[in-house]
Amino acid sequence: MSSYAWRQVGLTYIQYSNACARAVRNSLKPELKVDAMKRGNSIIKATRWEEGKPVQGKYSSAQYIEYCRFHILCEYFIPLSHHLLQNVTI
Amino acid sequence: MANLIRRSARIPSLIGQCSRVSSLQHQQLRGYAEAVGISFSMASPNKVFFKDETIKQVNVPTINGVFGILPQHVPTLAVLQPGVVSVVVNDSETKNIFASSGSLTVNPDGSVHILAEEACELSDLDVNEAREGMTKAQHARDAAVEATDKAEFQIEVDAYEAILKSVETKS
Repeated sequence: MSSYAWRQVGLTYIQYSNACARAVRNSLKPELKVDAMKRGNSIIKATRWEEGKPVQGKYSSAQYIEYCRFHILCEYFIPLSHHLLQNVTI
Repeated sequence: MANLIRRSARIPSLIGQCSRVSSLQHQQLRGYAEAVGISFSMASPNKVFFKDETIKQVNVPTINGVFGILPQHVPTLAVLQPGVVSVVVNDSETKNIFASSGSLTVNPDGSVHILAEEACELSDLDVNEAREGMTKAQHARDAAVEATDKAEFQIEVDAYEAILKSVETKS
């Protein structure tokens, strides 16, 4: 069945759902479409703060998420692994 | 004497058992006609269509096929396919809403929840926009090289087909 072809190439239901939603938004009447298209694009809004002020235009949302990931890695997992390694006796 | 006391102590539990049996019989006698209805909620991220409203029946297109839900349905989870969710509010009123995709939950208490990623009234859909989108998606699918891109555009084509079908059957 063609409806399961997407699953065979490794797409998830989330990706399937996104594609369907895109088609529906694109089929709305022109006056409704403008607002609908806006909400399709932004899923996360991230603002970076420096010294108590929001810093704009420095990072895109995707870059900011990468930045957060990196910091979580540096500040949490790496010290954790150090801590674990120090307590391991070989 | 001790025996009598022990027996009389059992009386409350016996009464309890009897009442349980009779309530069970009452439940078995109950049919669809007496059932009060379904507590139904349906929403998309930008709009709430139903909130704990009592309805008679709802027909939902899922990726395993369309199914109708009546009161006291067995608890179920399913994911939606693009199509028309038709809600039979009462004998004289049926609401049709187009849902792109999302999830359906039939809870143990009999309430039904539908969460759609994108949903709208049938009157909000535009045939020409859908036709145009479908042609574009078909071209993109035919031009795609990667299997995943091809599959993604095929999903869009199928969605446009469902949209066109629902709009054309309405008119």
